[in-house]
Amino acid sequence: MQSTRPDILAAGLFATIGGIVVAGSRGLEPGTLMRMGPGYLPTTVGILVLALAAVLGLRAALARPTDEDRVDWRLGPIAAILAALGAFALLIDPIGLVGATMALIAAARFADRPLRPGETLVLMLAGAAFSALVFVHLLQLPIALWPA
Amino acid sequence: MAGLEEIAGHLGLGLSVALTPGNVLYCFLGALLGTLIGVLPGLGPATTIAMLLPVTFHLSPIGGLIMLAGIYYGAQYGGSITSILVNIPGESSSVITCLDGHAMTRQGRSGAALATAALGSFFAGCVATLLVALFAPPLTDLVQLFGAAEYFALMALGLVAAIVLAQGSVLKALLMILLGLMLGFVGTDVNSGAHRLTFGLEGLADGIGFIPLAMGVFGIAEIAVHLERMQGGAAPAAAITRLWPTRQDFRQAWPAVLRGTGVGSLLGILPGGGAILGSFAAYTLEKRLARDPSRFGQGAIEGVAAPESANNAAAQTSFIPLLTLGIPSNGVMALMVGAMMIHGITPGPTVIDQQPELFWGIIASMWVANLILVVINLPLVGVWARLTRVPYRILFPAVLLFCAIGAYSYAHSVFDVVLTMVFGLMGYVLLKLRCEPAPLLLAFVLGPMMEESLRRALLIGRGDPTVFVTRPLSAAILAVAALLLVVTILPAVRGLRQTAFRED
Amino acid sequence: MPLVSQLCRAAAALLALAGLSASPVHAQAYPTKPITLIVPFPAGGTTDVLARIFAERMSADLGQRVVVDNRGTAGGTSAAAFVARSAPDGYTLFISNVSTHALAPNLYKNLSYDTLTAFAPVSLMTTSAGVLIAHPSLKAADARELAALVKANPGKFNYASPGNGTGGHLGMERFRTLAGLDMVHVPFNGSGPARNAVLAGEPPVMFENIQTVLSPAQAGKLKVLGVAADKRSSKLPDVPTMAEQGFAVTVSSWTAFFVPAATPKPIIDRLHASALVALKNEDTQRRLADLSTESVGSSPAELAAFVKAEYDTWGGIIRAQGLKIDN
Repeated sequence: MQSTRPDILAAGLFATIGGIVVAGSRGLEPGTLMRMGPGYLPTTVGILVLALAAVLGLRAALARPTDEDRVDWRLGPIAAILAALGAFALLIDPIGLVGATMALIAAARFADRPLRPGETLVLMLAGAAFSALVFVHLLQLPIALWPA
Repeated sequence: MAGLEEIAGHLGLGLSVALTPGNVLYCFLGALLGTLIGVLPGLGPATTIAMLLPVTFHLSPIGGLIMLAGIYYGAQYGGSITSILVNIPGESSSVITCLDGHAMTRQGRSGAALATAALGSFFAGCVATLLVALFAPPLTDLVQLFGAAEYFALMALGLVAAIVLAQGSVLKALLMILLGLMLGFVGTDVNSGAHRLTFGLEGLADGIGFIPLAMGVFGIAEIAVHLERMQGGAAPAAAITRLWPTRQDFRQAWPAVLRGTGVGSLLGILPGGGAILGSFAAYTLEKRLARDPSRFGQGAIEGVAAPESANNAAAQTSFIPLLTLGIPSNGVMALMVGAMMIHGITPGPTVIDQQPELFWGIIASMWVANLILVVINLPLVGVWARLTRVPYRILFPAVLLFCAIGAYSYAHSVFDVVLTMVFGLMGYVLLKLRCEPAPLLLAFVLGPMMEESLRRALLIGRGDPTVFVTRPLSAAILAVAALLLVVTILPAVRGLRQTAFRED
Repeated sequence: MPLVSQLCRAAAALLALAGLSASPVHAQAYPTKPITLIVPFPAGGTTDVLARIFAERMSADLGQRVVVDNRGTAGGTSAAAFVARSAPDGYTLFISNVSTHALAPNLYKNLSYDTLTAFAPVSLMTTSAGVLIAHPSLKAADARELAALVKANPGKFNYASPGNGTGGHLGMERFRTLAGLDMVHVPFNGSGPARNAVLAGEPPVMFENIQTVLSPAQAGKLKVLGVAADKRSSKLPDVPTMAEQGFAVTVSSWTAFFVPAATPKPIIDRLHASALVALKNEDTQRRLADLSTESVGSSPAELAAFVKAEYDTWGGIIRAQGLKIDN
């Protein structure tokens, strides 16, 4: 896969977030030194981040790239994990804990190969039973088990 | 400080209350339940206590509070187990334990890490309990020396110390701290009530929760990277070589336990960031004192022993402001206040005189709870450690499930699950770009307190920034912070210049 | 033998945890499933403590568990919004206080519900007096001396509050206006940290609930300058009210039960009866006394009138001060 220098990417990421914070604080009262408004520190810290990110990026751009700089991106696992959490978030309120748990486990298992469908099914059932028993029955969390 | 005989009398009275068979049973049940629930990722001590609080209402006041103390210590130790085994901190004070604790797990030394955490916590608990009994009333006055300027100085020192945690680039650690500060800005501003950086999302009005952030940047990111390593053909977690710490482990750990206990006991008294500052001040101290600081983050046993001792010591001494002034020093203590009030006790300076049995009973029960905890958990170390033998393809969906339920159940909020996703992605990318998440999380916790005290100090000082250096205690703390900053950054700046010259 | 009874109680506690505790079965149709009691604040605060005391007694009376659900965000407004859009079937009960029903609606401009029409009143449960507290080193023994001291040193004094737009903040603003004082407001994040600061003397004064200050006041770590209620407190008989000292400031905090507006009357009546049973319970009374909280137990109509009056009073103060939270 592609190889990029991590520090340049990191500098870009920090600069983006710093920029968002500076822009997002524009509507906030900066205030005075005695009465600092809500915008005073976010703006200050955001600008500091932009400056330091520039230093980080420049330093990386000037340095000679080495083999250690290679970043291996394997997006499969993280994508499956995020999809699993997303499925849980989407389903927990409409269909309850049992369905959301099964969906999470099914999606998460795509993060690993081979897929082993039989084992996944067992895990889905076991996970649903465990979460229903422990969280709803024993700990009495007010979470619906089934669709209302 | 009271006379020794008087103290012995007080502790005797306390023990006579705490050691009745019924109270020992409550303490045992509390510690066991606390451990079992606290070990679930995403359920930290605050959530565990909130869940189990109603159980204690059926008991007598002293029985209820003793059970609650058991739950508290149990949940805290349960959270340490999660930090060590799956790299998910249950509360801010166990963030540090993840660093070397989880590194030890990857080396097949999870048993040693768990046993060290249990024994270190027990030792720290014993010492700190004694300190509470000896010094509670005079230590109260320490709290009163701390005004807004002093808190600001302390938080600034904490942030500087967070840079020391970094193993790699100082510049990146600094950026991670600033990123943590920026995440801490999100939410409703305490002073003005204005919504900051919420981008119109109601779910952000109360700020970003610690649980989604910690689970995201530590837990989710770690799972993804672990799965990648497996697919890359790397060996899974090393087999467990031996369950117990070796003699060399003990030799390395015990001075760290001693220092951690001292640091944690002292910082625990301060309301606010006591436990978290304690745990990583202890870690920073060990890293600075170590002959070979590069071992830290790679499974150094001192890196588990020191913060675990410190956070448990702080957990005991944080009862001092509660019992003597009625001030809850953190969210868990606020729950304790609620529990006491339900039992008809309003914590405050008169409790010690009006209800000595209760006061000394609670203090004695701290020690009993620590003892019971170590008795329960040492045999369990083997069980927990064997959990890492469960194939990862079965373990990780379960961990992910607990993260999702933990995020959701804290405030019944789907939004918090979505936040966990967002921070999981962010943590993953940052990890890939070799930015370490610990400084970010510490800055996130300390930042809001620092901003509050900064603005308060300037408000009280009518905008005069010299208040921070004209008040002796504040000036002294800031001087330490400046010194630490210089000795940490100097080598990095030199390195930067060398890089620049090499390019010429 | 105590051990046996303690073992039994431990077993009962465990059973309750497992949700297996035997509860008497009532003949009535309502309630047939657990009732959720929404508490608009985090666990551990005064409102939460009271909610849990009532929930325990009401569970016994109703034959169904009353489950406390803490949803503490945005001054309680998000919890109130949740209740306002819940089904009016009697399974969502709301315990609210001065902040959610009188302060926030006057401070927050963009609420998704109308406080006075979105909820049906059940009962005013408790009231509790606020008191003006000061660090012992402050050279003032009562509110009048404080006013004189601040007047002699304009701009020199600060006061603490549990946050912007809280009763403690607005009450002090009212006092400041009535007495013509120049003081700087120093907001804190909750009453615990604010009280802590007053105990340390920086800032030296604030309004706080009576129950949390009695113990430090008895120990001489705080002094009480005035009671911000209609009458003196039985716990502090020697301390005059603010009104006696010439400043008409009341900062009482109260708790009341509400349900979503369209809830049928028979269900409201059932909940009202149950709330009164819970309130009149001997153990509840003892606990309220320990908390220096007065029990009220009003009718729904009385609560409606009370809330309207509180809403208007605080609304007037908030508008007079020009305070608002623009979100």
